[in-house]
Amino acid sequence: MIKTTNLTKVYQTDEIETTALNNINFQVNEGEFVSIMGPSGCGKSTLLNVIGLIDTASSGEYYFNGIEVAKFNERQRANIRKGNIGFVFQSFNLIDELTVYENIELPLLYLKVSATERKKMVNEVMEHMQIMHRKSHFPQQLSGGQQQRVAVARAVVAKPKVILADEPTGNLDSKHGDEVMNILTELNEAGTTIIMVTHSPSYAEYSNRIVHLFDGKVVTENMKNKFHL
Amino acid sequence: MFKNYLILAFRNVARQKALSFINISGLAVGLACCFLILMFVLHEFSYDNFHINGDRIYRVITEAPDGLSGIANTPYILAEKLPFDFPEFAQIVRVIKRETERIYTLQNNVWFDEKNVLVADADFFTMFSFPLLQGNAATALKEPHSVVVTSKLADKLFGSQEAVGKTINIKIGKDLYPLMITGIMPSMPGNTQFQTNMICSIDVSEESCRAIKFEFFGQAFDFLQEWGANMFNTFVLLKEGRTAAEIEQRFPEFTKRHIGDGNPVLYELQPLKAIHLHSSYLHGQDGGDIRKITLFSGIALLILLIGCINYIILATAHSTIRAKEIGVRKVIGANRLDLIIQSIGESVLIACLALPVALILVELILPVFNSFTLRSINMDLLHNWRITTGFLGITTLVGVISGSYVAFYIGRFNPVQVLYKQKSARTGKSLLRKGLIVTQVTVFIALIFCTLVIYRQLFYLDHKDLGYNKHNLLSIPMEGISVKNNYTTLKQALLSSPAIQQVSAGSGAPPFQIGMQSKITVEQFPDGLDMEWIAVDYDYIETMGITIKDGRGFSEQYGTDAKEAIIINEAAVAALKFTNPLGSTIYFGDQNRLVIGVIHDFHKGSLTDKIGPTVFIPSKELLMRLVVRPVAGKEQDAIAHIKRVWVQFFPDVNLDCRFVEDSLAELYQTQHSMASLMLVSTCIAVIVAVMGLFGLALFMAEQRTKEIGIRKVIGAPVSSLVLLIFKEFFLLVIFANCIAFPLAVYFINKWLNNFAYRVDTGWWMFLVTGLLALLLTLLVTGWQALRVAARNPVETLRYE
Repeated sequence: MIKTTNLTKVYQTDEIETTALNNINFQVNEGEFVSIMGPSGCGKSTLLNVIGLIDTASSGEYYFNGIEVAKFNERQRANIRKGNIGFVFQSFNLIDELTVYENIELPLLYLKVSATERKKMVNEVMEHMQIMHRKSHFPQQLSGGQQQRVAVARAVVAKPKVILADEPTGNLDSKHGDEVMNILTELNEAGTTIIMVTHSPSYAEYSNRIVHLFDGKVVTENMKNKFHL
Repeated sequence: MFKNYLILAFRNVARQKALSFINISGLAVGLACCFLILMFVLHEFSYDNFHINGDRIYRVITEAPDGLSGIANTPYILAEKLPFDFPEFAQIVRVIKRETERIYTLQNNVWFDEKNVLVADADFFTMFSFPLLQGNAATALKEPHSVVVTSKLADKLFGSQEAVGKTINIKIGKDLYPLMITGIMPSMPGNTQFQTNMICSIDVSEESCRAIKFEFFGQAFDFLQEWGANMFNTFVLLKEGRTAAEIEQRFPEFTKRHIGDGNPVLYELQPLKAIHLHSSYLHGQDGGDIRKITLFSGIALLILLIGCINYIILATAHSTIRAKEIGVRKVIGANRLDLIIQSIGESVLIACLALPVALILVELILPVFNSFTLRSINMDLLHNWRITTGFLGITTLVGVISGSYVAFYIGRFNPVQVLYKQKSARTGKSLLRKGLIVTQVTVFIALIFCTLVIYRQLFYLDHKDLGYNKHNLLSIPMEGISVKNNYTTLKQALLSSPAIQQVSAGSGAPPFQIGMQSKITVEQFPDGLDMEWIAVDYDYIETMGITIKDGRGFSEQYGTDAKEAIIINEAAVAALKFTNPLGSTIYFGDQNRLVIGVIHDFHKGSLTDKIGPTVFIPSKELLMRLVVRPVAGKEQDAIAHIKRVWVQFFPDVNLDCRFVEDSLAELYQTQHSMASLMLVSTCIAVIVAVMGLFGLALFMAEQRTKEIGIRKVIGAPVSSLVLLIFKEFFLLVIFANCIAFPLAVYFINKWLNNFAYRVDTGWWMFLVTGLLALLLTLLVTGWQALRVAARNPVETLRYE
């Protein structure tokens, strides 16, 4: 489903050149739950952003569902994103001026889903995430755990093929962190591909495979009980 | 999706109250100014554009050889001669507007004052499209002594009685003319130059002209036959297919044959629709002025520009706070077009919220605006589709323009940067924002500077020594009154009051409207020079307080003064190239005269005109204006005495007694109203711009709360924190000064060049304006910085 070949990302600021991703060859199959781990600044989030098509690679190839998308322009990338990729961030990134319902509804608006269908889909996902009673609240009125549930609900409402989660438990206590991880596992079991960046080895254990990055390179891959060096 | 945008926009407006207030009020003020000007411009351009044959109607005007000035009026005889030389004219109509004071209507022994009475040729109602409620347009003015009145005047005169067929009496000079009402017309529309309640047949003017016995150096002057007696507007209707250009080509030949070679008159055809706005260069014409429209429109657009800039600056600044929202939208699939639509939609919404506020402002300002522009404009949104469409169009356009840059700005946001790196307001490229602030400050500095200069020039106009004593001096017109026999006894009667110090008379008194010119011949200029002359009583110069530089004034003690003496001003000495003027001979009128005195130059009229060479001759026959100097402090007694004497001498003639100072003030009425306009506009522009700066400073101070907290913790004094915010604006204000001053000097000099006598733009004016701009900026930004600096640093840091 996702395949990168020699994917490289270089940041250029004045006279300093920083290589964030260095010839990454990485593949995720449909239905997998992959965790990406590594120290701060190793390129985890950059890799996730390039995969999520909100950032571009400097060189290399990137196939999404068999289509080479690395050279796509902004409009084409936006079109692939909507409906196919859902995002969950560490800092939730909910729109403060919109209610819970309106935040979740947003992706469906860009997909031009009809009003009736929208209402049905949003209610379904709110029911599933157990946030129905909070539908008219604004993000600031919710706890961190509830906000992340809303963020997950927004990511899954359009039934995307992939969910990219960037340290989804980073801002949560262990109780709420566990809750979010259970939801992600549930979604994966239902068939959604999940790629998650995390610092927490225990939460990484929820996934089928763990990829370790160091200085922009993939150093190890741990699939169940198998180590690749 | 639209609903989502709308909800978000409304919530943003409600949440950011200060920002929304600044945006909405700034745009509302700008829109209100634009709406007023739009209504004014539409009104001005609609003048006389409703006549069916309007495209073929022209007015014959007389252009000066320099092409810069001219006369709107033409002689009576022109219309008599034109048909023989120009068969291209289908109709020719003369129109003359009679002065208010000498026109009365009399019915049942009741007198009415009637302003702006028109006298016109019989074809008036067939050439122009003014419908008649009663009477026949083709014949209403055909019979001698006929008149058409408005239904309003008919009601005033006869109440519910039938007016047609009744006779009214109109008094011109001493004579009474009975006129029969032959037609009733509705009130004239507001957008025509023919503002009147009654139109008389042309014979009224013919008879009144013949009644005036006027002699010019012993020869009777016939107003109906003289080519120099420019009193009438002459309108012509061209036959289908004929052009004004082909006719104008043949005017020189026409004038040569009828007037002669000596003093070529340049006749031209002015389109009817151009008269209202393009006649300011013509003497004897009041109405609109295209320059005034340009000025009004320019100022309104500048205020709107400041309002729009406020919106753009604050919206781009605020968009950095909203960066997360933009990033999230992009991540979940919004493309650039979606964001552009959202951004423009929001600014259109803000403009729409400003619309009702603007309409209320217009409704409140309109009465003042009407009295200021002497118009009667209504905001009739339900029935005037042009105004309604214009208002909606301007509002939408303002919204789209304001939102476009913001849309472009946020469209460029990189979601990775805004979501992960929390891009702040100061890290973004704010060159354009700085440019906008500079533009805004430039506009208000330029307006402040121009207003300062205009008020200084007005002070100069009001206080300049005019070369005579303008204070406490009364002027009374005597045109049309036979004063020749009464003058001496009238003067004695006036002087009998202890309240009156001096009485004299001349062919004119300041401010002179139109001077009389004649050829003056001296040895150095055997072909003669055209020079202005003033006929005066012996003590005119003394009464006026004009000072004699050399020689003496006129005196009855010298028996020869009446026929042989002449006094000239300094400008005439220079023009005639006299080295020793006293005793020089000047040939004037019909004989040689000896220069007995030279007076210091004095300003006969407005300071827009240079003092021209002028000569004075003593005469008791050409006196048309009395000048009376009351004893200081006894002005009211003097006026009461003048009224009593006047009734004894001229019981049928209205007395128009005015202080020269009041008439001088009227000369500068246009300049005074322009100054008021500039002052009001400048205040509005400054308030709107300062509100914008206030909003931006508020935003910047909030953005830098953490930095200010840290600086405070490590010991920075409050003054340095104020300076921190202020310095961001300081350089911009200095830069704006550098742009504003050359621009302002350029435009204000164009205005000052209208005056022959003017002030200069002194360095202190630049300094005052510059310091004022800096002070305003310091107050606005410093206050915001103080507010943040006053917070407890622990609180600000925790808050961050």
